[in-house]
Amino acid sequence: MMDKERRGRGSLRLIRRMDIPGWLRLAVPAASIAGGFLFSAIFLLGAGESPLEVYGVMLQGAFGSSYGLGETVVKMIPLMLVSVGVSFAFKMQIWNAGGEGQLHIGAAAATFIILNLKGYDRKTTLTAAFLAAFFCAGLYGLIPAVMKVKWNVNELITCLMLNYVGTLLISWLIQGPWKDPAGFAFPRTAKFPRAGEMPAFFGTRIHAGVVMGLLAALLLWFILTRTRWGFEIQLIGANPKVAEYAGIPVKRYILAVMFVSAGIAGIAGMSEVCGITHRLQANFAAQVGPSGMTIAYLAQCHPLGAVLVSFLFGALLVGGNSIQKLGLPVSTVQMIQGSILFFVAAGTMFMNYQIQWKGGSRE
Amino acid sequence: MSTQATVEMKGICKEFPSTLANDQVDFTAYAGEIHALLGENGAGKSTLMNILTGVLEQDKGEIWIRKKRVFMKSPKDALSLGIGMIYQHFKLVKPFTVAENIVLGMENVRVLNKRALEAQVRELSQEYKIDLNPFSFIWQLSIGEQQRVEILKVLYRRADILILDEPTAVLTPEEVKELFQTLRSMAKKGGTIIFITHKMHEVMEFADRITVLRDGRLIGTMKREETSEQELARLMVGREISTGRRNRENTVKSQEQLRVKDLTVLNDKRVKAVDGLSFQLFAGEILGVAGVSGNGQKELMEALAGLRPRAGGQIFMGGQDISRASPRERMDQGMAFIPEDRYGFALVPSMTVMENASLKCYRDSRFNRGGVLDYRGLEQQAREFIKEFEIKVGGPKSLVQSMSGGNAQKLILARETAREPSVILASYPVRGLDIKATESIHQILVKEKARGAGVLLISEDLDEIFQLSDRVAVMYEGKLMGILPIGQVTLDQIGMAMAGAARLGGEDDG
Repeated sequence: MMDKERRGRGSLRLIRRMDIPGWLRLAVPAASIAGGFLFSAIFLLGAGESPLEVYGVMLQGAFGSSYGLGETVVKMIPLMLVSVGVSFAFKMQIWNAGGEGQLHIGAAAATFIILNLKGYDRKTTLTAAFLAAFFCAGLYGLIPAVMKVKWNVNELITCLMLNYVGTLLISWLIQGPWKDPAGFAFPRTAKFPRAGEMPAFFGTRIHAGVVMGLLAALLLWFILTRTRWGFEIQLIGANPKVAEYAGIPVKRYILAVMFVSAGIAGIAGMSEVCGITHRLQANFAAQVGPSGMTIAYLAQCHPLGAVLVSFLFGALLVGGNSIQKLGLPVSTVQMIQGSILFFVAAGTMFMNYQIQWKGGSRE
Repeated sequence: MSTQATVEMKGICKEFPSTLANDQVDFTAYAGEIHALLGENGAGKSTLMNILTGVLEQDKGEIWIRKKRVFMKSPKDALSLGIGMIYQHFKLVKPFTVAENIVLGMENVRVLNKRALEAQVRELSQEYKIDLNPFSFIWQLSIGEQQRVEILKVLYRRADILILDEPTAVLTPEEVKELFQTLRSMAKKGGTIIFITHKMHEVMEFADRITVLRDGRLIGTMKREETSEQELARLMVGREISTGRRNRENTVKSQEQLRVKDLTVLNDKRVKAVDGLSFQLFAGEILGVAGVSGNGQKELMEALAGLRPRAGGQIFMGGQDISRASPRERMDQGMAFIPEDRYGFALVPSMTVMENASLKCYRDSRFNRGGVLDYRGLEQQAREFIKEFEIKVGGPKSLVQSMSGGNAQKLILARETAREPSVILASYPVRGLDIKATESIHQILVKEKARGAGVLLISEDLDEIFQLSDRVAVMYEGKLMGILPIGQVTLDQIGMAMAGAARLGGEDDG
């Protein structure tokens, strides 16, 4: 009755599914990823490479050693934090495309605290840096939120613009006022004192950011699925008009959710400078913002799904680096990533629609 | 006025699933006249005109244009015969200019010669005294100006039979005058103008002849001089009313539940839709508000529920001023709202029955412990709704989009009445429902009234008004045309008031 039918040419019909079975939610992405690898294999064959060998080296590189696995997790951490953060806003159909800028603001805030808060122990310093990163990035995320609520400005555009402001602000800081006086021509700040460094675990570069990311994902998952606030957020995401009818202060929610969403993206910046680079420097989180949005989309804004997809992306990055030793250019990895993304995005259609063949009959 | 018939439609029949939209309708329009097509919502006016413009195809009947039998398959065919339609919702591209919109879609235009185009548009607008700058962007124009672009678009395609679907619905009174000046000048040049309306005064002011449709049938065609507002109103609504009262208990109590004082509300176009309206709603009564929809009913209900800002006036609930209260505060004070748009406003079709059933109560302490929801309790509640209101659906976890309209509406009523509200705002609660669903919805409303709720019922179905109301009001152009007890009002009176021809009398609107 309520079927939204799309009539294709001839006898192919797409019928919107009434209920999406649980197994399909896992099967479709898994099949899509496999499809992406198969599709890439065509090009690898065309380039005279053996796809099996390439994929084998990738697997080996990403998971085959404790170093590789560690690096996969290290790459996953910022992706996970940004994607978990922005997916929280996406859930409400608020398009926080500003993860990149928020990450940079968070990193800058943490850097400022660590370089200026001297003489405290590690716990205090890092807690202060954490809070500063969360609040400053959150406030930065409030700019597009306020503009949306007050003047109905499209947050997607303002977020993208603010990405430039955020990243260029950091460029200026590390080349200007915050530049390390002992750093020759390098655009970077001084190295953090020991109190500002997050320790690494298991003899790898894995740092406490992984805990922050997992906790953030679990917390948001709990909020979304178990609490009244999550119910309200889902309602706003499904239809803001109905949410208003149900008495939910939609505008206040937009502000609050953007603050939290941006704050978590800010933590990604803090965890990178405190856990990996130990200083603020150029390109410390290249491509994390855009990838984070892609991951959130692929995970269908599910916080735990974002963790899984981030892990996959981390593995692709690390595995991709390792196939360079076969003499393949980096763009090969990007091609593989692109085709996986393409297949997963297209795959959602099979989740939402059922395909039916109707031979000869009309309507 | 010439007597050359430009449009002749003979014995037109059109059937839709479950309704006969046009039943043996004859319609004739002449060159040089402005012809009004009058009728209630659902009378078949739009169907008839959609057939004339090739949007729909008739099941039976003939169409003759300028004495030639024609067969149209699409609006393009109609346009090539000189028939152009101006819809209520404009089909303009906002970032484009007036001139660009005018040539848009014309196949013989390949290269845009802007200067020639500008000249043509200027010429055309001077000829018909339509004041427009061809290089303005659509988004810069007022609604009235956008309508003029639509008219120019049709004129540019050399249409001389012009059909307008409720052209005045979105216009200010000043713009209405200008529109009809334009239309008159077109008629004088030999054009045929047909406009769909349900507003009596426009008909009497601007039309040369009037065709009245009712329930898909032709009631009559007459010259304006030979008829009156009274006659037209009677023709428009005059029909047998089923007198089977569904609301038999006369439990009218005197306790005031809702008082509205001088309420003024703007519509989305920022035009006054509710204009200084006042009334009281008492416990244990159903106050039926009749009226053709589009007279401010939607804006009134949304303002009462707190979902649309007031431009002026006050609202009291149980004696307390709630004019500034949020929707949530009004809800918690005991206000329930059954909006006219079931799926866009009251329900989320992509969510489950349980989630939709919980919209109004999830914050109650029964279901909410420090912010954590008791989903099992909510599911149990949804199960009770399904049982008590005999809702046909797979279960609490089924999606609302799998429900029929009647069951969806029952779900809304179950939810809205669960918290024993003192005020129930019900907009067109049975619109589009079958007889059985209608009956059960009506029973629920009567039961609520008997419990002591005040029910404000908006309807354009006079059967429903007569079956349910304790008192009747009529809403017309943002005002109430008086309120009378059900026993003291006649169908004629309501028809007249609905058409804006006379007041009901009784209590004053103030």
